[in-house]
Amino acid sequence: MTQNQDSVNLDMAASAISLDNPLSAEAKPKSQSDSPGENLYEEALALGQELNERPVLGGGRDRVRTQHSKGRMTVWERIRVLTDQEPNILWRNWGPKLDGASIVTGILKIGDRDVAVYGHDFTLRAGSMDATNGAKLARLIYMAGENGMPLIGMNDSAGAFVPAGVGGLDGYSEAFTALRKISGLAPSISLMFGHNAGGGAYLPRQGSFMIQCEETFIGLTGPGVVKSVLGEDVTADELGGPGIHGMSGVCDLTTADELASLRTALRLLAYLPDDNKSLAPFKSTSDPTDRYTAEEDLLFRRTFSTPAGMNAPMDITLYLQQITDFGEFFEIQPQRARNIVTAFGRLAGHVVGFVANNSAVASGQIDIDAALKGTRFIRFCNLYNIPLIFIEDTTGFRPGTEQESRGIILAGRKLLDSIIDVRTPRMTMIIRNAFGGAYASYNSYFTGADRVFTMPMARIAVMGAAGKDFVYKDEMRALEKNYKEALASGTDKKEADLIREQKLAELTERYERELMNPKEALSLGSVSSVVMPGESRRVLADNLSFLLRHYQPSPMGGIQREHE
Amino acid sequence: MLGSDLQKARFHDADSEWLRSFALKDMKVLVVCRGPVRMEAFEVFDDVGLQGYGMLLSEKDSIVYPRCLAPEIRSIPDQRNIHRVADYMGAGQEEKMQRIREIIAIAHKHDYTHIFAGYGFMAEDADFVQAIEDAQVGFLGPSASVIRRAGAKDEAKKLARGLGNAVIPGVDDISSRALVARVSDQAGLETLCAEHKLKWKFDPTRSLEENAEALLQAGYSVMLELVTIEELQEAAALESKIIWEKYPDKRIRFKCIGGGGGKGQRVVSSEPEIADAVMEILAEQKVTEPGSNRNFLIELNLETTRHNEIQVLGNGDWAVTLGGRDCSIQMREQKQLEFSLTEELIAEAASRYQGQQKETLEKDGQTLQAMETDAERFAVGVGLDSVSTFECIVEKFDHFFMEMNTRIQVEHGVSELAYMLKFTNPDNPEESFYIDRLIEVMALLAVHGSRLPRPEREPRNISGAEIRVNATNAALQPHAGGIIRQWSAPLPYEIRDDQGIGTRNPDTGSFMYYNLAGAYDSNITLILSPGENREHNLQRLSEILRRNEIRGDNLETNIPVQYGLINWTLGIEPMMKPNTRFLTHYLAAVGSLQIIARDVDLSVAAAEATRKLKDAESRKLLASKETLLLRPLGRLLSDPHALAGFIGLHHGRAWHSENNQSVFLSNPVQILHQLYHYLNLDYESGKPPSEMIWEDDDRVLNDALSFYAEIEKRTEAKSWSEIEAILAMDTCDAVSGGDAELWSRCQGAHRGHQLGMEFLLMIPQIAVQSGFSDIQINESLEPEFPEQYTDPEITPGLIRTLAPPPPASANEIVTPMAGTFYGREAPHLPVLIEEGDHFEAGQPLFIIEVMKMFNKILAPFSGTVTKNLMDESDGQILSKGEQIFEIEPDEAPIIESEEEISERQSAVTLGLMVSPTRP
Repeated sequence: MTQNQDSVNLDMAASAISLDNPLSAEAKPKSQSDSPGENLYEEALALGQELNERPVLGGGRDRVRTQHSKGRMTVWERIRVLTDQEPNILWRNWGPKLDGASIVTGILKIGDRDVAVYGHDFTLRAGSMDATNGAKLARLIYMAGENGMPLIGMNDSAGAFVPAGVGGLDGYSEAFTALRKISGLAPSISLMFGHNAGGGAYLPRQGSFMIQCEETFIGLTGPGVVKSVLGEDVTADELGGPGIHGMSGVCDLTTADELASLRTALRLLAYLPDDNKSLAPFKSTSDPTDRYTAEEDLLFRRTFSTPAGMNAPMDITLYLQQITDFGEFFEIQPQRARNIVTAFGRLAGHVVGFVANNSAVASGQIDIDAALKGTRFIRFCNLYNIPLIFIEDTTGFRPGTEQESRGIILAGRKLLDSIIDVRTPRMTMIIRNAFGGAYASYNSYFTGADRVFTMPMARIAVMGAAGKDFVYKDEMRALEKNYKEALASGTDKKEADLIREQKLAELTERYERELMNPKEALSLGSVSSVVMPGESRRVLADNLSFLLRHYQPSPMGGIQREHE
Repeated sequence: MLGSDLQKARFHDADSEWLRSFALKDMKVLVVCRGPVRMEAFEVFDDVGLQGYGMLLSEKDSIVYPRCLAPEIRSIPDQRNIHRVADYMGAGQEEKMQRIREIIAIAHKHDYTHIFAGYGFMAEDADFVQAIEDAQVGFLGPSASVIRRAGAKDEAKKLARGLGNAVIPGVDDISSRALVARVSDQAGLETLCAEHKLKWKFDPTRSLEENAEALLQAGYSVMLELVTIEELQEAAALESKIIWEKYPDKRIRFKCIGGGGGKGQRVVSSEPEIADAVMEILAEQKVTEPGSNRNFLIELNLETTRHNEIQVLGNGDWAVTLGGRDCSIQMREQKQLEFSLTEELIAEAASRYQGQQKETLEKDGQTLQAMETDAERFAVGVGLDSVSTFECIVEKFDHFFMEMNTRIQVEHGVSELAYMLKFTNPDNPEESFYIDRLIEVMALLAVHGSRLPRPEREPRNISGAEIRVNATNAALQPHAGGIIRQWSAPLPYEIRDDQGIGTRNPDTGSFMYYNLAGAYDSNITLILSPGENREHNLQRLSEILRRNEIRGDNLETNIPVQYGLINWTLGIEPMMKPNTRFLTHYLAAVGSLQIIARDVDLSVAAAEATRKLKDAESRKLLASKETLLLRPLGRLLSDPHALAGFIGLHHGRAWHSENNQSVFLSNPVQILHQLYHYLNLDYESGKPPSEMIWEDDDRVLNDALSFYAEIEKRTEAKSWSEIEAILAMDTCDAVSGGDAELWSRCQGAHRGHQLGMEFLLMIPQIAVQSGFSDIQINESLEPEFPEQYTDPEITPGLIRTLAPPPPASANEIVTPMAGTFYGREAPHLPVLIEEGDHFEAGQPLFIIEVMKMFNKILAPFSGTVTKNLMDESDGQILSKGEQIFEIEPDEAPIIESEEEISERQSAVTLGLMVSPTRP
């Protein structure tokens, strides 16, 4: 006899269906002998126990199961991935229902570091924000700023709690304000889980870094609203999935799932200082800083001996992995505008921010996206006492109507300003191309660089090959004159064209030989010295160590400038 | 080296003078290969205590891909011992000779005494080894003369035949034989030549048949028929008769030289078929015209061959074998899984089997012994002075020599697990030492070869096995690329030769992201483990893979295939004897599971189960079990290989299927528990919660398990049907001690715990409906597949379902960026692709120059160029999105409406849902 037969046996129906084990010792029905008031102390203990447990139970088993059925962890489970040490949960029973008000706040011990953490409990009122929990969140955020702790935010919230009315909006305002107020005091990482719209999208983006995994959404509004307002038919993933935000820079890092996001946050944390008064964690290295890196030489040798010669594109991370400690580096915004690579890495054990032109993508030209990406990264390093190394290999800012009409001058200006403002140790290594405005703005001595080095193959010049028109004006004029004369004297046009082409090529070659090299820059003191391929690690590590010996980490002060 | 106490020791530190005389400390070895064997060699050299070692480093291992730096270069003790080369071996003969000169120059300049080439291509290259010998540098491996004698296939076969070894019987010169049969001697050939005025002269240094062949060639050049088709038919009948005398039950294959894909081939089983078969293959090959070259091959037809090989070593005077390895589980010549094959293993298995299977195993033991005898004889015959592998194909109980690989092989570790070597001082039987690593044996033979006494082999483990973990998709096609971000540590009994990929940053302890660029081959790691017998060995491999966590971006490995296959084998027959076509059939079978499983919609199943329930209480309870039941089931159904393994483990044990109905033979609660375990989702503290059973579900599952455990204990019921019967009774005092209320609650709990368990019966239903469960093991321990999995017309389609290629998004290729177009890399080079050419995904199609940077544009998917819109347009300036080619994609997208999809999924899902009632 089995339970699913369509005719249900009456006897069977009499016994209640259950998921218990009636035969276990604990399963005996509870005796009701302890009448209330008999032992007030025990009762108080029981109450305490119950209060402590209440927020951990969240919205109850059904809600937890719904969360799990979407392949998502609960906030408590996420905390367990971040640390195996017991979390120090603060304001545990906040809220009228004493359940923590759908947001968990506390301090985690991650390794030997204190890290402030908050996480929405989606199983309680869908993790929504109201007047009370906004204040709770703000308290935690302020505490991170005051105590100088990094903040990890685990966002999984449906937005403002609609029944709370304006109260929910006020809650958001309070949290927004808090996060903005600690921006620049302590770094923060926002992890995006679930479906985050409106305030749920703005709040986390006020933090330093945002990490989004697959099967999540971030947006001003969800696809439903987009459909009703604009008539646009779009899936949540197409509107606000990690593929979209990784490209736009809304998210700094994208991952496959929640676990990968949490682990990525821990990786990133290892490069971040506690606050704006301290240096990022130093890890003394067993990778010799004086090693000659033969691969570096080989890399350039091979790149520049392809048919494209000195114009061959090269993935700049191949260079980064040769010079950093054990070749490890951690790229930020790897999906976006990779014509600039921004990455953390360690050199001689010190955390360094690398800002590297990458000729493998769009020839390494700086466009609006690359400029904004670089700016964001440089400002972060500057605020948090992280030294910067600029790897220069660019023909300049990208010209053309598309970029001009979108305002590349504004974006380029932001990048330039962010570089001028840098007060942490800063060096530049010119690999190849350093032309015109890009050279001038890209951490040159005159923008305040501490060191500018060059490789022997560098081409530091006012402009690329087109510069010959200005430098060899007389020769150009003579060339044109000869051409016209030849045509007039009846020379075949094809032949005349050929001769002109040849002469032009000769001038180009002469220009490259005479002017596209580091000589002038060295003579003017615009560059410190030539670094031979294979020596980058040693030279950069030695100079970085020197500069850091003479650098005191401190909060950034000074005058506020007009532009951000 | 291990001392006589089996403790690690070094020769030069030994007390005994005899032991010290085998010191290796003056060696300095240059390793010229890459892969897991490089790091393994370094480990051995560290243990031995050499003077030093160094390595070559290629550009692909250092500067071609980001995050793909050879890990050894950061760990090698002396950086000066890294020697940069463009590549480990050149492309083509000229580059190869250049590389050889380079390697020898490095060896001389840096005082290397020896060179080690692992299992790289160079290792059995006679030119390479000869050059090393000529340069007075030592080589860890067989000498050039051995490579020449043993490595050239024809020569080796002749030698083997001469030594009385079994080789595949047959002839490859039937035309010459027919001619010789006609003219019988030299004079006859000369008469024929004169008759037709052919350019030919008898060469007394060569055989009569070879001379006949030369005369035939002269005839072909002037379209002269010297041998008729009838004569060929007679000669073929004669040769076949010779083969049948020795192998009366076997078939014989006639194959035209240069025939392929089954064309120009016939397999005959009796004399009367021969004449027609010869005529047919000649017709198919279009060589019936007089004067055509009609030569064809006659050989014993081996239909279901296994690939076995014998590990052998020698010093030129003696040779010792270390048992065999079964390497039959392979695909496209790529071995996947290798097992040790030793007399101890077979004897142990035979002692546990009965009847014909026992007999089979005993005969296998004899075959192994014969192979080992042949291997030893051959090794002595060629003067083997290092380690090699004697490769055989085996059909039933007949083995045939194929070739000798004169190098250490990837799977050598399997033999190291099975045996170690004991060397005893011939002058003092009290003195002895052991070696358990073949690379160390190679070093010892290279330095002290001639004075090394013949060792005895000592069994270490009854069984040893190796898994090759490769970067492939679920259909075992190579999958280049992908970043490893996380890799769990090895288990205690797991030997992981991962070429250093798993090396952690020693400063921070973090796993260093590694890019699987696939520059050389797709191998990621080798995983080896010993076992008390084959079954125990398989269990350990299964456990290793179950616990293995390798995560990253765009990462695909063959681990799911291996995990499924190992578990399927465990369930169906651990001593199974696969042949070399097994894996193709097996993948096709798994593909047939996938065809059904991919259409299962568990939400439809849940709704259907709920609909069938009459009372609200039950519905609520079922809803509360949603994640408990559907999460592991969903995972299993999304991975056809895991599904195959689970079916193999439990089909016929946990459930029984008949007439498209399946019933449980064991408690479904236990099956569910096993499923969680199988998927590595058991509860473990410290594990990330998303990687294990949800806590609430774990509580329910544990309550259920302990409830039934208690019932079993109190009733002493042995089987699930007994327990079911007991729980259906009105009362059971053994359980409730007369407490009617308790008994009623027990029955309620039983109904609750069994609620929804019928979802699990979808697993056997898929197995039955697909035909997967019809795979059998016969009395000879061979797997037998239903026809649909062996039919070459059907199998490719089934296998493709395991890894469908990404469909093309368009029928055009446009430029992804603005710039100047070039169809070629440089003016003097040909265009990258022409109209009508086929291209693979990732292949460069054209160049866009942006500010003097030449960007190669790669194909996003595979297809064929139907029209080149940029013919002769080099130098033309394009804006972003302009059309370059019209193309025909290989996989055109099939448009199916959402309704159609959901209708199909509903039909498939409901078709799998069976009433749990016994028929």
